[in-house]
Amino acid sequence: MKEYLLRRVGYMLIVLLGVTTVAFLLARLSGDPVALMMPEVTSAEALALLREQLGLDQPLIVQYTQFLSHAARGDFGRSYQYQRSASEVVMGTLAPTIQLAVVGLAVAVIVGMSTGVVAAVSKGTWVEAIAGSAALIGQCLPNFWLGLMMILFFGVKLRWFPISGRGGLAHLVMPGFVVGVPFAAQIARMVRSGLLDQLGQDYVRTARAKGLHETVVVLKHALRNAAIPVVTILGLDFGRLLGGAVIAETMFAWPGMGRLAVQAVFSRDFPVVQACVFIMGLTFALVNLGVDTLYLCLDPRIRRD
Amino acid sequence: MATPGPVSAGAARRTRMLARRLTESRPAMLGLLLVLVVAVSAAGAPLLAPYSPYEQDIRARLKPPGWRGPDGGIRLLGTDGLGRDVLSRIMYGARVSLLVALATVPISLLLGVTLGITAGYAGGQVDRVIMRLVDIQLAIPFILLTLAVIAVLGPSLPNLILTLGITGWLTYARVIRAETMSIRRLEYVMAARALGATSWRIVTRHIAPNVLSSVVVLATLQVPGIVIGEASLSFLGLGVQPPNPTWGGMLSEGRQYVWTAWWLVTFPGLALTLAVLGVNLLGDWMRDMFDPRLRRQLGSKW
Repeated sequence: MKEYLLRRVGYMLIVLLGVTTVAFLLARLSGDPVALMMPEVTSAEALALLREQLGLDQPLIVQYTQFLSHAARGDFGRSYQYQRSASEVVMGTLAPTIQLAVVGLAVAVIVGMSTGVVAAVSKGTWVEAIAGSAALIGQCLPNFWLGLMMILFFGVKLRWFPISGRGGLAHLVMPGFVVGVPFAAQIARMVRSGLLDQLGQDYVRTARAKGLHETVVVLKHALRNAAIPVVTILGLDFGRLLGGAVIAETMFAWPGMGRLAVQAVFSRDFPVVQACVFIMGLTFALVNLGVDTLYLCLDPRIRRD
Repeated sequence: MATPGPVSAGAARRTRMLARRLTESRPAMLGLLLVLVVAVSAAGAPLLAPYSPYEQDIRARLKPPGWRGPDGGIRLLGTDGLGRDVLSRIMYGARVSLLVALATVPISLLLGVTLGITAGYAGGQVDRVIMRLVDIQLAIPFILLTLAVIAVLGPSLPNLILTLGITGWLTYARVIRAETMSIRRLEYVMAARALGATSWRIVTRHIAPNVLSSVVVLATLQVPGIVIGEASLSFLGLGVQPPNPTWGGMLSEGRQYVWTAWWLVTFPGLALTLAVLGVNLLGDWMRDMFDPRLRRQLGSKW
């Protein structure tokens, strides 16, 4: 098993290298940051001087190797926009990003699982039809529209929640839902069908024959097995979580990494773009690694391979 | 005229059977209806739309749904900040969504299927490299990737189609790779190889026709993602540029009026959701119909 993990880590590093290279290339190709940084009347010589200072006049290969050697040490350069270390700027957004991700995930798991369980156990009734439709529609809702409608209802009409900025828990509710609902819908569908599969199996029949209360059978036994593919999907779709956070953060002015990355792309702040993509890629790889390990724990059958 | 041979007669019969199965499934019929509404709006917008989507009328700005103008015309879904009729803009917006979807799918399909078959058939290093590319692209959030690429290329409709097309190859590649690998191991394929058939012949005669049904399902299921992708990018200002009507762009413009004109954000979003819902319903039905195996690879049946 240790060998398996080591292989996965090695693989992860290769993917990470690829991700950072893509970030590097895309950033450089997006245009000249120097022209954006200075007022329009700056002379060509001044622009060239600035370019030289930032090391942007050197051939791409040289820039790339410099970038890699610095990045290995965690140094992504100085942000053009904020005039601070890029890694510092990005790390500053780490806390809000994690908060939003956790809330979004919580929403997704709680809402998704309960909807899925309800739909599975009430098969054939109108409850199932409603839960099913809700899950389907939830997957089709564009997340920015959901955000706008939530702003309309809860922010404007009902005035329950604040619609922008960072603050207490109240500020997290709407962005959290925008991030979590598409996943909740997906989880609901998976849990529902997975649970239905499990409930048809022999061990469930045995459990019921033993006289166990139905709730115990469903929640303690069947759900555990049905949850395994959900865990895998959560890992694979984590990238989507980060992406969904981008929209939510932009709409609700939540100071997370997604919003920072978008702004950096628009302002051609290469160091920040590179640092952001690197961190996102690293997080994605770590989450997948964690999911694989969790998988090994949840399903003992895999351990033997 | 010669009697139709067994193949074409069988195909006609199969099509009729398929059509009947379609009408039996209520979700699929709903999906078909929604898709037809969108398609008819898109195709017929110049004839069906009550107003021009570009015509501005300052006296008619920000009017609620059902407002009757001085000329007697009724703005069914209200007007936007420049006095343009929301319903007409939504109908014209359908054209953009449809166009982007129809243009993007072939690009992703070609790229993804080619890479998928290559990975599945060649195996070994080639397979590993291609799968690594998949993982690398998966690690970068879609929005950020497409955002960055559009920032490089510049926002325009062709660039949008190109970007969405090139980034959409992943699912095709993965699924087709898996299918290719299982077809490759079938006995008749091994027999063909033993008889000396070239790889090209095996791919074109044995593998490609068998993955066709999966490809069709994948293409249908890719459309919702494309529609939402275009809308998201237009929402962020990087897709179709104003004054061209697009659902995402309308939502972005409507944002500033959310306090005063609720209809500007409600209806375009509703159009988006319903269009996506329609295609999803159809795609789900197709998936369940064509290949139960695919169900497990793409996600379970609802």
